[in-house]
Amino acid sequence: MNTLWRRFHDFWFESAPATRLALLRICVGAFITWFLWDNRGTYLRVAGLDPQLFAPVGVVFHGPVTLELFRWLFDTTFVLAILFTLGLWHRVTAPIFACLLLWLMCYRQSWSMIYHSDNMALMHIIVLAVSRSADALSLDAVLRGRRTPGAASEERVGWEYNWPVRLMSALVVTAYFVTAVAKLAGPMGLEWMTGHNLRAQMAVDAMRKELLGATPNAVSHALYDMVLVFSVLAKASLCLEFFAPLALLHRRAGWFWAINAFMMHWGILFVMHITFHYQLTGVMFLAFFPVEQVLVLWRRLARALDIQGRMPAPIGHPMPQAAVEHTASRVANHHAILYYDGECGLCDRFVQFVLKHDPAEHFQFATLQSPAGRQQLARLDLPDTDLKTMVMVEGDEPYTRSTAALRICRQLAAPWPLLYAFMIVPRPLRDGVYSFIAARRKLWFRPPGECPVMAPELRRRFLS
Amino acid sequence: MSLDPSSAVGRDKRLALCICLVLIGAVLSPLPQNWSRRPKDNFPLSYYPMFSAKRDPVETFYYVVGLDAEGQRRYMRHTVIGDGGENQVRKALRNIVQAGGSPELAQTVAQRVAQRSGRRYRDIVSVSICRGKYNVDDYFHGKKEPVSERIYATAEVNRTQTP
Repeated sequence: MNTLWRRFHDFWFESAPATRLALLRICVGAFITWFLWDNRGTYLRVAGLDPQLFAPVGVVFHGPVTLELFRWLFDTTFVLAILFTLGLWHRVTAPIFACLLLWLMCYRQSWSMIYHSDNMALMHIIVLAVSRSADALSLDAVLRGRRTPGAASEERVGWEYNWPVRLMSALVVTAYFVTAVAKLAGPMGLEWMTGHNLRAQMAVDAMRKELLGATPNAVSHALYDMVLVFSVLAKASLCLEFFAPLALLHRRAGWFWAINAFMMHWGILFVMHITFHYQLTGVMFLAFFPVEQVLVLWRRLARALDIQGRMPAPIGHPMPQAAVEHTASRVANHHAILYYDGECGLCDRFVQFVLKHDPAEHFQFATLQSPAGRQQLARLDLPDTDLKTMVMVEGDEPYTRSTAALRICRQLAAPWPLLYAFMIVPRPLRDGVYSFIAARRKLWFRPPGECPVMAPELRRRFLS
Repeated sequence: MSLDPSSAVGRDKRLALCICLVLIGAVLSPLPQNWSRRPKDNFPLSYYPMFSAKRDPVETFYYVVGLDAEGQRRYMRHTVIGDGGENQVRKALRNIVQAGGSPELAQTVAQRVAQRSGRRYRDIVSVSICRGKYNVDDYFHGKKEPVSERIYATAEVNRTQTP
C-alpha cells in the first residue's frame, strides 16, 4: 500500500517546468477567448428567448436575467478571458473569470439545450485558474522580472506545475469513462457494442437535421447500409471511452489514447457533422503531451537561423577565421557521442548529415571499431564483429537502433526534431524497420572511400 | 514525498490533492443518474446520455413544413424557426408544441418566411408546425414520407404586409 501511495505521489507531484502549465493556460485561454468572441451573437440571442423555455441548470438557481445585465456580464467575462490568456493579475482575475464563465455557460445551457462539448473547457479553466499557471509566459512574470531582475520564470521547475496538468488529463479521461458507463448502463447494455444503436443514432441525427431544412448528409446516407463499419466503430469507441483511465498510467499510453480520441471526434464530425470545438481543435488533449517542447523547438529554430551564417564549412573546405573561433568556443558544449560503423556507407552519410544539421555541436563522433567504440559495445554486451546498430551515448545513457536515431534527430536543427514524434510507435516496430535497413545497408550503400580532408574544428569532434 | 501538514510544501500538496479529489469526484458524481428512475442531465456535470438512448425503428420528429401554391412540401430551416443553433431550435420547438404554443410559433415563422426572398422561401404560401413519425430504415432507402403526421398549427405567409 505504501509503495502504491509512493508511486502515486511521485507520479502526481513529479516535477514539471512552469512553461508546460503556462502554455496550457495560453492555449485553453485563447480557445475560450475565441469561443466567446465567435458565440457572442448566439449567447445574446438565446438570452432573449421566451422565458418559458428557461430551465436552470448547474449553478443557475434563478430565473432569466435582463438582457442588459447579461450583455454586461458576457462582455466582462470576455475581457477577463483575455487577461487570463495573457496572465495578468492571475491570482485575482483568474478565479473571478472561472466563476463568471461557469455562470455564463450554465445560463446559456439553461435554455432547453445542454451542449456537452463545453463541459471540459470549463473544467480546465477552473483547474488553470486555481493553479500557478501564470508563473511563466505571462504578464505577471514579466512584471515580476522587472521588480526582481534575474528571476527567470521560464526556467522554474516544480511539483506545483505538474499536478494541475495531471488533473486536466484525469478530468478528460474521467468524462470519457462516464460516457462509457452511460452506454453500458443504458437500455442497450453490452448490446451497444453490436453497432446497431450507433447506426440508428447516426441515422436519427441526420434525419433531425434534414427535417429542420439541412442539406442531406451524403456520408451518413452512404454508410447506413455498412453495418460492419458501425460494429467496428461501436466497439472501438466504447473501448476508447471505458479504458480511458488507463491513459494516465503511462506517458505513451496517454499519447496513444489522446490521438485516438482526437481522431474519433474528427470521425464524428465527418459522419454526423457534429462539431465539438474543444475536442476538434485538440486543445482538450494538450495536457497529455509535453507541450513545452514547442518552446524548445522554437528556440532551436531561432538559434539555427541565428547561426546559419556561421555554419561550419563543408568538409574539405577551409572555414573563415571568425567562424573557426566561434566554433572553437563552443567545442566544450558536446553533450552526446555517436558511435557508428566506420566501414558502412550509410553510417558515413548519416554522420555527414548530423554534422551539417547540428549547429549547436551537440554531438561528437567515434567509430565502433575504435577503442572507445569497442568499449561501448562491450558495455552493451553487443558483438564487435557483426555490427547491427549505431550507439548514441547521451549523458551516461546509451541508446541503440531506432531510439538512437530518433534521439539524434531531436537534437538537430529544425525541422528534423519533428521526427522524434515517431517515438510514439512501439519500439519493436521501429527497431524492426531499423534492423531491416541495417541488415541491407552494405548492399544498398557503397562503403566510404578516401577520407576527405576535414577542417580542424570538425576533426576535433571525432574521437580517436 | 510526504504530505506532512507541519511543512508548507506538505500543506500545499494536501490542498492540491483536495482540489483534485473534489473535481474528479464532481465529474464522477452524475454516474448514479444512469440508474435513476427519472434521470436528469446537468451542466457542467453531465452523465453524457446522448449516445446511450435506445432508438426505435419508427422515430418521432418535430419540424415545420412549408407548402407552395402547388402543394409541394419543403422543410423550413431552423434559422426561421428560432434562435441558437439546430439542436437548440429542435428542443425549443418540441417544448413549444408540448406547451401549446404552436399557433403563435406558426405566425412567427410565417412572418419570417415572408421577409425572406431566397429560393427556399419565395414560393411558400403557408407553414405548418408538425409532429411526424418516420420509419428510419425506409427513410434511408428513399421512402422519405412520414408514417403518420399531426399538424398542430398552420399560418398563411402574407407578403403584402411585409415592409
